[in-house]
Amino acid sequence: MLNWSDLHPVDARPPAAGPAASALLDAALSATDSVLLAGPHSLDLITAIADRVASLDILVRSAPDAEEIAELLDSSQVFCGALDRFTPAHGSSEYDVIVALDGLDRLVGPDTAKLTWADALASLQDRLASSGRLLLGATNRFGFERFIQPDIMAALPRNEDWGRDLADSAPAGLKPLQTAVANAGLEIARTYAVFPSLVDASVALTELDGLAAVLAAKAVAECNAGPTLMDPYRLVLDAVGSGLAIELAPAWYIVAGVTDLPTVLPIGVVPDGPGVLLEEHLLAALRVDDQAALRRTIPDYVAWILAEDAAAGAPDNVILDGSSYRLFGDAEPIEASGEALAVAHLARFARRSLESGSRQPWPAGGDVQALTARLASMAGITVPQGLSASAEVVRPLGSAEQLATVARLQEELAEASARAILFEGQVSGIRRSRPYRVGHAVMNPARVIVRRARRVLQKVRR
Amino acid sequence: MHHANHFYGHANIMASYAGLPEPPRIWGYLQHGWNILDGFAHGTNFAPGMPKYVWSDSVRRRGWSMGLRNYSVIGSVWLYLLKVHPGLATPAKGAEGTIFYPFHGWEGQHVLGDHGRIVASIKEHETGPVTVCLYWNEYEKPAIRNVYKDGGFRVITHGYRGLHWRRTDAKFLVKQLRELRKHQRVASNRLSSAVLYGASIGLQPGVYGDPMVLENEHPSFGGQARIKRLWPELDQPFVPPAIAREFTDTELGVDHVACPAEIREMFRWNL
Repeated sequence: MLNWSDLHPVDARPPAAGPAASALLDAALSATDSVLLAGPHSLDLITAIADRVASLDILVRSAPDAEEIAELLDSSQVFCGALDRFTPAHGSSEYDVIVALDGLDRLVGPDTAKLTWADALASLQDRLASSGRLLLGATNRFGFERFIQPDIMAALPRNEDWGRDLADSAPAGLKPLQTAVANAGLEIARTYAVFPSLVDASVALTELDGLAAVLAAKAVAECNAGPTLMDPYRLVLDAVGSGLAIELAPAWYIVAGVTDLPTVLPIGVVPDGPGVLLEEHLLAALRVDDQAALRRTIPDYVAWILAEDAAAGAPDNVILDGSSYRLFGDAEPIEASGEALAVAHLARFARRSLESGSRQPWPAGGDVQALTARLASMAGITVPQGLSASAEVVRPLGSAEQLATVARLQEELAEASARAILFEGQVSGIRRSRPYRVGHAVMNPARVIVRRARRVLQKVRR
Repeated sequence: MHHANHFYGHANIMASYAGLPEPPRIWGYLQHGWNILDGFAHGTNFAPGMPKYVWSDSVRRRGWSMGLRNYSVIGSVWLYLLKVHPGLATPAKGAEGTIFYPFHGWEGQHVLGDHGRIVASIKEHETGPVTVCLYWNEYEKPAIRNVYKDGGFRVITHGYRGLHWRRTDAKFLVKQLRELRKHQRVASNRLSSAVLYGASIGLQPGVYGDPMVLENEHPSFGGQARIKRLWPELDQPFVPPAIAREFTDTELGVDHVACPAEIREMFRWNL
């Protein structure tokens, strides 16, 4: 494609990239390998591969990209064109490794009338040595994104969506994908769920539970920071809870012909050891109205914060394991110490729980400060009222959480209003009562008399 | 807030626990006796959205299922009393015998039953000295008091629980604690708060005799039949201590006690 770039796209996706992709290549490639890299990959990935293997051939569809890559690399061959014309006359007839972490979609341009997904896989496979390794990316067409954002692109297609052949579509869903790969005669060694996307693969996981799920949820939440249909972080964690997260992952890596791959990419990104995220534990307690659980946990947590002076120890970055606490990962530290630090962390939890539309066991209004005071009081800390300069507005990102918040506030408002009417009635009942009226009739003149008598006394003293 | 918050000096006990000399108004409703439904007297007219402070989680669950909201389970005031009076943590010297609480009504509902038969059943089961504790309205009726006196029992009352914020005996519960400490057993013809209180501090509980009938008792509570169905193991003259302990821990809400700072926050005593 002459006037087209996947490296610097105008109206298309950027190339495959991300630390999880780098880590996969690190784990799967060795120094003696001859490698074919097919499709758009970031320059970082390309140079990393070139640096660590014996030979690297690159196939890209964009002419400007091919030129840019060729200038960058000395010893690699760069082929520009579509996969269906990439015959054994070009490059080697066999490769030890074929890398297509962007998937098979962007291996052809509009000059190719038809190359089905299965045919594209077959052409790559033809060039793979019999004991060769294949690293394949695939985007999920029905992943978390569907629940988080309306699919505007379906109604407003980009330049790259020129409309393929009717029969030319990638397998939809994880099972069909795995079946298609297996049907091609490839033995799948590993399937990774990739978050948040192929073009920004920050983490790839073979299993999604507990702490790994938190990482996936954070990755999805970070790239959906604007208004959403529902809270991305919550959505991922709830899907994990229902065992659906691998199927709903934004994308997958399928690896064939490699053994001994790590279960988590990049290695070590999921904290070791058992435990649950403290925030999840606290939210679970809120959800079932278990205030005793909060009362048990929060004092221990606050004691830990005070002992460790854990500036980055907000509940969404702390692992609770039985009765011990440790940090989950890096987080923005808070500039405070002692009780103020603990209160700041609890305030962050209070805000996040309100924003997540969580059930609140008490009338919480939209008041982060009041909720913080309640939580802090469980640890024996009394937060002075009205210290913060301005009222904080709770802003749930997702429409679903906004509706939940509206419903909660609506009920609390109706109750507050009914209470005002009830109390007003009680006060007016008291005012009309005989004891009040008698008291009033007696006390008012009595006050006047006392006041006058005091004045007289003062004059006498002078 | 609600005058029932002050029954038995409950508000005063909570104030002492929270470090205040006098009880300010409590923002919400405080459960004042052991309850097998939503934690409150039938027909309590709750101001919408006000918190309800109850003893046990079972009460919260039942109340919620009946449309009530904003429960906070904090355990019974009795547990807070025990914390406020660490001096009464052990039995009195020479503690002996049984304290028996004939099921009591209150000013608005009287119990119907034969006190003579209660005396007979006490004599049937108890071997040591017996103290009978009557509620004040029964204590003040010589006809009732004398039935027990003539049975050879010591007859006492812990006082008046108060009504509409007036004549509350703020020392009611502490008197009860002192009296319980002088005994080894606590018994009643109905499973009730007094039996729970006694059992919670290690007295062996017993339930026996004519349970009597409360005038106009509301059917939604399920009455005695329901209590016997839910806790058959407690319907016996000598309840094994382990069973009694588990029951009182749950029903008094031992795992739910809040610290003084949280009580001040919940009751809006920080303002």
